[in-house]
Amino acid sequence: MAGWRLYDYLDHRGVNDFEGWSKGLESKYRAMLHRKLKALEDTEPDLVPGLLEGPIRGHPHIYKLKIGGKIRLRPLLCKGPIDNNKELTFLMGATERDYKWDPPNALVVAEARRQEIISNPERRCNHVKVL
Amino acid sequence: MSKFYSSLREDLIRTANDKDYRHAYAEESLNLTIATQIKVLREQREFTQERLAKEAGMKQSMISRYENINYSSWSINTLRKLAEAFDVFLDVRFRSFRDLVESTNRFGREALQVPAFTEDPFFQEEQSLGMQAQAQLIPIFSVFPQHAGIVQRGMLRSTEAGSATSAAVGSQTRQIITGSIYA
Repeated sequence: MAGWRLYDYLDHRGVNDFEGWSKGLESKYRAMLHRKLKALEDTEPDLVPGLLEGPIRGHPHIYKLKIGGKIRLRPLLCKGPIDNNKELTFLMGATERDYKWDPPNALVVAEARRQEIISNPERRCNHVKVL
Repeated sequence: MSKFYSSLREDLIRTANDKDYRHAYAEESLNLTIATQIKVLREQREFTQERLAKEAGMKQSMISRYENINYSSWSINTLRKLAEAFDVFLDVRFRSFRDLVESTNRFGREALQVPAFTEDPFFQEEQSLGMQAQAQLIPIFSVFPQHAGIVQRGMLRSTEAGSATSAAVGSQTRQIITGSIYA
């Protein structure tokens, strides 16, 4: 199977921020997220068009998933950062409306977290699925 | 490799009381499948987006929108035009969630590819068999005209039906022809 291996960022206390963000989603949005994550896990990287969007302008290592609906949910992630050809790491959850991010510094925080993982690969864990 | 999203059946059982979850999953799956299949069918035919747009009577910018899983405003009319451009037929049906699990687990390039009618070996074989049968039928019709209707119905069905049925009907057709010859 040619899909990606999925990881989540851990903060300095070992807390999985993306897991917490996922728990706060309505179940229908979690379902949309799960379908896209299954496609990331199962399929060759370029098969599904628009699945992994990015890199985001001005942030060459940060990608997003688009989860539709009234609230535009945007899980932020990066390739690698240990093995850029096989791994994706969820850095944080955010929302986007008219190119404005909530939290406003989401992309900067995501890049900082990516750097933390590069410095210390222990700052991530296998992705945690929230049902 | 650890996989977190491979157990859709178990997930749907665990969320059985959550109708929103399964319907949102199905809708996302529909959008993901249609967009990906349009891209896969276009690549299978070695069409550019411009060529597909021309075949379907659309603008290239629309094909670009359709080939994105985040597009969700599908109409049957649009899909019908694309089906004709690909020379395949559009099948819209209500299905069970069991089918969702099976189709999700099968999802991939090979499962999404569909031959155009003129590239489908099924019809090439049938055309060949049809020509053979016709060649043999000419004398039979003149000697045993009462069988002509049966044979013609068999050939018609073998062209329209699925491969398993077709093989059976084709075989039956040959038996009728042979039987007629030796009757």
